[in-house]
Amino acid sequence: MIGGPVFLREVLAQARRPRTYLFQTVFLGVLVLGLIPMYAQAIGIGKSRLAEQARMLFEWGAYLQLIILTLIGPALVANAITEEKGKNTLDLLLLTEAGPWAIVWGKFCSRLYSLLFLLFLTVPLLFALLTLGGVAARSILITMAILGGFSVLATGLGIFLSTVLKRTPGVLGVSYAVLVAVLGAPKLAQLPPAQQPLVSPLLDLAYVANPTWYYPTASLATEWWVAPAWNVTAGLALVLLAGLALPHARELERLLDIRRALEAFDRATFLLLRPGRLLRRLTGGGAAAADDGPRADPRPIGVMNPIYWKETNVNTVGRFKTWWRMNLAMLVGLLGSYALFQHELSNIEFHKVVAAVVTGFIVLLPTIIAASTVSREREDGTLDLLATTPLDCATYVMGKVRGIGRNIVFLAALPFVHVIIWIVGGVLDPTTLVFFALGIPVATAASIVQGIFVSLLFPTTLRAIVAAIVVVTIEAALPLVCCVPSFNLPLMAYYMVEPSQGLATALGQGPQGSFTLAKLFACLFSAGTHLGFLFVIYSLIRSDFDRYIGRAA
Amino acid sequence: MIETRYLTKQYKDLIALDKLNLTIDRGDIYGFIGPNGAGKTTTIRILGTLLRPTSGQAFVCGYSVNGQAKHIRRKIGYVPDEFGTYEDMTVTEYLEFFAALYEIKGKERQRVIHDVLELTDLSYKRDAQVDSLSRGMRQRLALARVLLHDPDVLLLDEPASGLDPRARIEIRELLKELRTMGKTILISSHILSELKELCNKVGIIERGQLLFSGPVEEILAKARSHDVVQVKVREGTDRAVEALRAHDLVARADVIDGDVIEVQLQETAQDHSLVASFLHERGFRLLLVREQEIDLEDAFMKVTKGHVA
Repeated sequence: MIGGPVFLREVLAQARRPRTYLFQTVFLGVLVLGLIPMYAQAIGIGKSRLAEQARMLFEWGAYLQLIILTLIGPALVANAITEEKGKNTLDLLLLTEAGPWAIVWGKFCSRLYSLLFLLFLTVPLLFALLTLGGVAARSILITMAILGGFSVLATGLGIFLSTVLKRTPGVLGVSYAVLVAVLGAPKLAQLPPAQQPLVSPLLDLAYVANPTWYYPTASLATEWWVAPAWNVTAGLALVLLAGLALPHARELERLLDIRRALEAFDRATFLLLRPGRLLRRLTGGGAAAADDGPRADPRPIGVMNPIYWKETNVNTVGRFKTWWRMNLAMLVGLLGSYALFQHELSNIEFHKVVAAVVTGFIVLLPTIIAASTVSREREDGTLDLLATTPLDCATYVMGKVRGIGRNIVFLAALPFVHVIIWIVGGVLDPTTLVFFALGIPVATAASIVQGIFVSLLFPTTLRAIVAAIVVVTIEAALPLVCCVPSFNLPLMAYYMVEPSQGLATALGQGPQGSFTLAKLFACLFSAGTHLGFLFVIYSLIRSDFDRYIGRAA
Repeated sequence: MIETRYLTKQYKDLIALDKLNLTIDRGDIYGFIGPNGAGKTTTIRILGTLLRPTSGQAFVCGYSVNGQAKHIRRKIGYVPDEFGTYEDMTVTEYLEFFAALYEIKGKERQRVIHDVLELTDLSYKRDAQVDSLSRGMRQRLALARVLLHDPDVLLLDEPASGLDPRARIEIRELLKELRTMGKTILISSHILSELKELCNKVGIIERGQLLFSGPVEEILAKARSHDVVQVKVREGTDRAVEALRAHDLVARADVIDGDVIEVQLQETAQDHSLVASFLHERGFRLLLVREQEIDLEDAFMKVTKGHVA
């Protein structure tokens, strides 16, 4: 089966795609760039410290590999079947003698081969650590087994989701959510420490790198295989399910299409938000008005920026789009966290983590959403229509930024809402609001503009989304390289949250006061760098706008 | 209205357009025909300011595509071969959106939208969702869109592609109406029979080179250069064929459609009247003598060699 026609076609196609080599180069490049500074530090130190340094190198290298696999894996697999469905070639494949199993298995093997090849590329790098001591060959092999098992899970999951879901971005989103849950859920769910490495490959890796102190449970020494074993089993089971599901892919797509249910939910919520209309409907007088529901009176364009009008008019609550659901999900998540961690509500650490998580979404979501905005227009052919109009760069970019900004305004306001609640509750200091006001709005605008820029650079939505995630990840990692946390908004937000002492009190407390002032300067610096970044990106877009939107390419 | 001079577009080793010289006058309906990959879409996209030529010049309404693209965009209406839809927009909103992009404001905008909907017979669909329209209606909407700003030039890339016969006829009638409005239209199509009825000029392109450009009548006459005559005799069809084949000036004589004889004359033949007189001299009674009808498809097949870039 591995040598079957689907597998061969896939492997050949991959070998011809430049992105295959790009992925490999990026993967290896990030690893090498991440590890070389640490390796350099190890030079000229004592033997025992050298061994410790090597162990650290190994540990962080393994984590880095896992993170990159989590990011790259779904991107490599997500379109395996959706692409065939989109091009109407799946039916042709199913009509051949090959059958669904050969198709699914061929796709699975070829994509897994790509991921395992990435891992294989790092083997010499990891074995080089043996020369420093502190790392056993067995640990390296076990690490490769854990990472390999995780690759099988990521590939199997991607193949299954690609079979039952319609769109590649949907597959990508669900894949990331599931994989992140697999890696982090045991910790969040507060499983007993001895069980965490059995479930999460991330914690299994942590255990392998620190067998003595991380989880001092003797039995774990022989149980490292549990996580990779269940990963492989689950991955293969998902491929099996995908094979079963493939002939019924269209029906399953329809079955899993929750759009109608969501639209009904939107309608119900819309009625609840407009009691007058609800009342008319309940009394039987407003059936017609309720039927046309929120669509009844779209805002006229008037003298509005048409791009802004388009972004907001077709993507609003009334138009049954995802924006408001996303905002609602975030609100429910925030309130849910209050319920889940009731006993932590007076703990400043809880509020710092909440701020970091919410601002993480504020950076990630607008970037990803903006990244898909232009490429989607390019894919569905509407960008060509825009490009033959007299549309200029300022109108286009400003329309997009304002439109996306308006749609996520609730999301951007959420940290402020949280802070205000807990300032009133006496847990946080009002200074936090000032820090947030300096940091969040401009960073959000910068996220949108950088997302648009990424979208202008890449021809397909999938590539643009993956590139946006990579950009956000690199920005988040910047503090590790150059100690400037400006572009890591979650980290900034974490430190921006001030306990309820009051700025004046803090200033009178010596070091604490200095720290508060330093944070204020950091926020100002962050706002400044984001403004500068915004300006640079906008200038880049404007410098060659025609080419970016496909005019005069 | 449209002029290209030595227009060339090259993608690495592939020459998509090779020194194309084209002139389309005001009010012309110019049919652009050629096999797939011949360079039709490339030409239209260059004229639509969506592609930059590798070398050569192209002018639309007197403006050069190199450097004066902004002016051109106000003068043209471009319909691509694939219709781009925005989800969740009604027909009116779709047109309002583009009208706003063309900076048509206030009451003028409403009037223009009303007019183009009337013209394209889409008024009854003004509140329908764009993505719920049939392909034929979408094409009509695409034409409505490009008429919003009353452009002088329409660039239509395969507007009838994938349409059913009824929708094709509707589009054809609509284009005829636009012709009466004095628009200059460059239209590429594979449905040659319709172009013959619609266009006053055609251009045949193959492998990026313009093989013919001129009035429809001219290309038909050109295709007719080797006279082909169809004759029918009362009796003795086989004998008549044998006799014709023996004639020095006859290149070919075959029976088609039962008892109609198709005769192709040598290039040296003066005119086709010799066929009738020759058969009459040999005692055949003629029931029919006619020139073979040449249509655009025949002309296209004769002019092109079947090569694709």
